[in-house]
Amino acid sequence: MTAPPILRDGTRLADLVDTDARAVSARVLMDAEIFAWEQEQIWQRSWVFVAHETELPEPGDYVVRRIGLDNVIVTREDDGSVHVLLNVCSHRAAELCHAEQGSALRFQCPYHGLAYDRRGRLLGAPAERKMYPGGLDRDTLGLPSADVGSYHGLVFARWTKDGPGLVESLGDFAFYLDMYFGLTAHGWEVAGPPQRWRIPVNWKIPAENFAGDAYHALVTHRSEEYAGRVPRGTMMKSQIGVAVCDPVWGHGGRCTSLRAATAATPAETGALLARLIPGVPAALHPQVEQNLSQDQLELLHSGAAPFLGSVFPNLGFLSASFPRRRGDPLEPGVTIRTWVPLDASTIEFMSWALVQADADERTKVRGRRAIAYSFGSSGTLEQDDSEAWSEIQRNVAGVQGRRRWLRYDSTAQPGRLDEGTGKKWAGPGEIRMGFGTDDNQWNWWLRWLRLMAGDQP
Amino acid sequence: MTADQAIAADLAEWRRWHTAARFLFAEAELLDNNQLTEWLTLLSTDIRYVMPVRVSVSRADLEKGVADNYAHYDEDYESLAYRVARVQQPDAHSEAVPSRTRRFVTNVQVSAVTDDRLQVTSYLLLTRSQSVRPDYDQLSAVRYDELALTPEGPKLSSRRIVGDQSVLGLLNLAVFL
Repeated sequence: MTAPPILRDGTRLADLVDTDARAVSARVLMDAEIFAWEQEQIWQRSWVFVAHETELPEPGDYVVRRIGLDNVIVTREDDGSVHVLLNVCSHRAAELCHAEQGSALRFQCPYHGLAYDRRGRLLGAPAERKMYPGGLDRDTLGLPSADVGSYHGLVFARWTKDGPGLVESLGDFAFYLDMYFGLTAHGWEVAGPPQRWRIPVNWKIPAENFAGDAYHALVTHRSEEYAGRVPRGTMMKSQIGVAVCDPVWGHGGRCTSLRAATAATPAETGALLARLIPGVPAALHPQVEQNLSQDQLELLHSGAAPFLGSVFPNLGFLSASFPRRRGDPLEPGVTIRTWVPLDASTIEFMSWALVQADADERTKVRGRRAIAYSFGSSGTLEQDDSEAWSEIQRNVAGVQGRRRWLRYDSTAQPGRLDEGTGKKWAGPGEIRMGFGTDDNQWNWWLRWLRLMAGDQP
Repeated sequence: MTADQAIAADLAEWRRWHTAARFLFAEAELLDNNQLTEWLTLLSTDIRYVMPVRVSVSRADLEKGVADNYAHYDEDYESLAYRVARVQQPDAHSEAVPSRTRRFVTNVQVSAVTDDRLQVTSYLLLTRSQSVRPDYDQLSAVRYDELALTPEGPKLSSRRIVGDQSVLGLLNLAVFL
């Protein structure tokens, strides 16, 4: 166990999570000491999403991102490999890359001028022979680089060199990520750069929400019903679905429910896929049949597909199909997002629109418009989430507030048999059908607790 | 050009500026007073209303500093009208306690003129006070507008809002710019 299991005031980490009552101390949302532990236990030891492959289309392209509080350069080499380098000069800690994106074959520090290549190797320093007659120690002065893994275009990085690989860390949830990100030959691409904005909330609140909090939609998002974009009862209907999670690795998400009828004819399948995999044009549907496994196709043909999820620690994904206004056709939109922790009480929210790389231009334009309408900085749904989240953060700042508990006591037994249809769920992981419960979010917290205690996974 | 013609030209130019400035100031007043439904009447029904994502780039890449492929707002009249309808619902939590906003509109310039259209550039500083916090959320931007001159008065037929922040300091964009 590498983490001190006891906080400075004598509280044990384990006392902050009540596994009998399924409750988490509100203190974990605001305590600077816990936030500092997270820098070590979570952000050094997890595979953290840093970029989408299509943000780096050409060799030399880079974006600047964060892993925890560390600023990193994500860059592409001539051989196509992606490298994640600490954006901090090894000489005097100045920042190498100021722009948030661009193209560069090497990175020169603006302070004393040390220069590095795209793998972080030190190339040299100005007037090197005069300044360092004995030579610079190139081996120790390279930029720290994180291990990099890529899964269906999602680029993750991890600082610790030992530990489980990316695919192993995705666990059973990889099956559902395949059904979302691995549908077609060229997959998703980012429509453009991400929306970025700040919300005064601890990063764990949005991260656990995306693991499968259907419940909040009932009230948080009911203005969509009252304003008439969606029919009354839509948010109640959205409670029914299939919660999927990997309790070992903490990832969770939600899928649509199995239907009684299985799509058999091409016409039935086409109509079903148009609904289940929004943003994937019909012309690409044949690729879906090629790319997915038999089990994944069985789920799809029975009406089940993932539409929302949280990959531990801080990557979320979501598809939304809403009309422009009531009665208009549904406009599909797809997003990935990450909640970058800036301090215990602040995140930077980054939200990308995804479009199918092989979709026609019109579909791409409509997709990015649709998602910005409902989700993201101005999204008519998400703007109400940010309000609730920032209020939570204010509330837990008080002594009484932080002594309260976040409750996750709604639970259901896992099960693969859908009693309504008699069908059996063909995918892996822990499955719960019907009305949404807190189980996915609770499993998210248990992974957080294990990592914080120094355990892996 | 005779002296009279020069005066007439000056007067026409001044009138156009006055038309644009008066429109923008009145629009800001409606928005700051939460008269959102009235604000909609200032919009042309074929409006395009866009706020592109801003990217912090080096001088050599400046043309990439304003994204042409993703936006904070990417709206038409229907979506703006829906946003107005929704945000006034009692359960629209982001503005259930409406923020107090002030839109400072300056640097108004009329850059191009056709018979029935004015191209207008203006600067906007939005201050937004929410809840009981004394600090403001702020947003500064340049707006590139097109005003359609109709018998019912000028209507906003196009707006492109280019904000200065690549990372917005607002909790959300539940306000119009």
